[in-house]
Amino acid sequence: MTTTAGLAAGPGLHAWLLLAAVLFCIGIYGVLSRRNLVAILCSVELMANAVNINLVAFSRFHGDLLGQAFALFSVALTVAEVGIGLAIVILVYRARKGIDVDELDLLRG
Amino acid sequence: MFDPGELNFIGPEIAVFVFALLVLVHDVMFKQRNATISMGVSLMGLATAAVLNLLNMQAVDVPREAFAGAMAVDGFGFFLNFIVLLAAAGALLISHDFLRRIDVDVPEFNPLVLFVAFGMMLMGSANDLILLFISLEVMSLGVYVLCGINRGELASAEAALKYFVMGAFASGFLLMGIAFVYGGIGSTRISAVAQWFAIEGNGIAGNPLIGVGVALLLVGFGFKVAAAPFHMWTPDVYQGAPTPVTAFMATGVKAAAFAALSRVLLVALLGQNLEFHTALWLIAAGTILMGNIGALVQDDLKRMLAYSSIGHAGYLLMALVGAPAAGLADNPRLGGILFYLLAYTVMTVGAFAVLSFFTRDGVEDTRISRLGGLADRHPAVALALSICLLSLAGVPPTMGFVGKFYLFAAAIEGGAIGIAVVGAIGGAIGIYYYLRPIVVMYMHPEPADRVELAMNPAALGVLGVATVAVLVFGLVPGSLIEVAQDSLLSLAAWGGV
Amino acid sequence: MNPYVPVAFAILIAIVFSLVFVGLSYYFGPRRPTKTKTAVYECGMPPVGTTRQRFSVKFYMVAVLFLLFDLEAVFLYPWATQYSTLLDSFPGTFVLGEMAVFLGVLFIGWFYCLKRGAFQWD
Repeated sequence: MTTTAGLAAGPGLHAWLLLAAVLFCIGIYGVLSRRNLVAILCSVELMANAVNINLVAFSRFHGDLLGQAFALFSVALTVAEVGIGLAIVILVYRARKGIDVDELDLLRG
Repeated sequence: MFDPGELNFIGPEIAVFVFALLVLVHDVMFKQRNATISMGVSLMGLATAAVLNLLNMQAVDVPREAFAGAMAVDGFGFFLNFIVLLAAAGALLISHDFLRRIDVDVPEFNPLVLFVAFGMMLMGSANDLILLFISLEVMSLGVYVLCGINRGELASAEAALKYFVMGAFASGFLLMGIAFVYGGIGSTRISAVAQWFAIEGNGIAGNPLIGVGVALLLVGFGFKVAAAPFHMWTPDVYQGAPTPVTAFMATGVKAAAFAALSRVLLVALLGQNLEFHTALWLIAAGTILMGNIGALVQDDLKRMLAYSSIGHAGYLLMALVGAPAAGLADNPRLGGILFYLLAYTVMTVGAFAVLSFFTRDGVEDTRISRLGGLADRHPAVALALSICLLSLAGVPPTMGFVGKFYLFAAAIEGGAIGIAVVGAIGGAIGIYYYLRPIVVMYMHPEPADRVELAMNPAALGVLGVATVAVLVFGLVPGSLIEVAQDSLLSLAAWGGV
Repeated sequence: MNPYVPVAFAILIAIVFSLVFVGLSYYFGPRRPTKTKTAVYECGMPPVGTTRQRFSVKFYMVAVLFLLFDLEAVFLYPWATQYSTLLDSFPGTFVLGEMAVFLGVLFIGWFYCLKRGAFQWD
């Protein structure tokens, strides 16, 4: 494939992928296990940042800038996503006076 | 080198975007906004986009790339644009009177629908996974807000929250999938993935990165199109969101997400589908069964339609299971996917137009029992709703029947007999639960505490047009089917196979 | 020897020492609590209210709007640094015009926030 020379100085590609995978899994675990909405939001953010690490690592590995450019877009989109997420959390908080997901059981069946 | 002429290819998208900005500025400019002007300008934007799309469709005979390969200009994208524009127009018209009744007077609604439509249209013609992801987020972020637009209603807030958490979770998977595909082949172009696979010796087996990437992409898309086992959010969100928004989600969001999934599966992974054929088979079978069985026990028509929309996603996946490894031309029946997306949009918008009439003191009440006696009070509305429901059930001579026929034909011609049998079981269950509301309408007496239906010309117009279209294209589908098949076959231009 | 071994030793020593000293002061230190001593430290002033005090949702609006508009610089910066390079491949006003479109859309967003009263403090 393409050059890997740029990586010779630091840890190899696999180290970065491992870091990203661990962060991604922590994020998944957080989304699935946390009951506080803000904590869920943080976990989603963690997943997105794991992807950014992956993108930049692959970008370096392939020796092009595509991954880094995508990471910039990804950061911007994630911020927009969190902005809307917080707005929704506040909406729910005002309606229910609490942000525990287990209490949100109006819709089921 | 950039050629300004390429801007023509995103003419419809630009039109929708510019009109969205116009409506936004108009809506916030004055103290008392004029809802009719806002609606009129929004519809004008959709109409302009439709005309531009038609012109593009006639001008472009051979599929081609635009914007350095980020966008694919082909019949598939044009056809999806029409579906999205129809869904957006339907949702806007239904919403006009509905929002007034539930006392939601916000300037954001119409512009948001247009922004979401903008994202959907780009999604259908994205040839680059980066563009695909950005347009998917433009769509999703708008829909999260639309779900929660009824701020006084707890169900609406809860639906927005559930959709947001699941959607953001799914986006994470999709993004990770894209990152791994990029890591595997060094490009994010969908056509480049196809070309990479076409090289002798390249395959999922020899490149774990792309294998992981494809698996994560499937999970992400699975959430977005509400395929089992990632469908759990659908009934809650569809029920809690305001009816026009639900109509838009069930039609537009589903069509756009499915189009993007189809493009990835049919262009990038066509020759490789043996590798994940079993996974796709299981997802399709699970989606058909979960959707249809779940719909059986619902007492709320809106929730029932939510479950049935899962089932319909299953039928579409069923056709994708039958995709031929040797090339799309081997199975032209796959064009049924596009035809069915259009048919599903038309009949679902019709059904939701009727649902939007059922409000009581500003709160939605869509229990099936409320339909009692509708045939006596409003025979025309009852007949139109019956036709839409029968079409959803796939009874001839309706558009839904023709579409479903082609989906089954595509699966069987592709050698996927097993999944077609599962689909037939799902269809049989479907006929039962779609008949239930019809029986209530015609046989049951009116509920004692009946409320007058909030009928309004705009939504009635949507219902009328949808019903006529369902019947006309059910009786003479010929030319539309041909357009759908040609549009799908245009994807073959990108394949490396 | 693995180059990370000294790092591991440093971490280990840090943990052990901190535990030992905290333990020693806990064991030997006299404890005569008074009301003032156990109070929350708030710069020497008597504490007012709880730490979980509610604050206005306006702070949230300001924070999110700041974040969104601040982040647009992410797209401005690469464009500005690469402007002359871009001019080589796209001569004329195209590069400038593209950013003008972006900023124009951003401006409409700002106008929307202004008209919706998102910038009003009271």
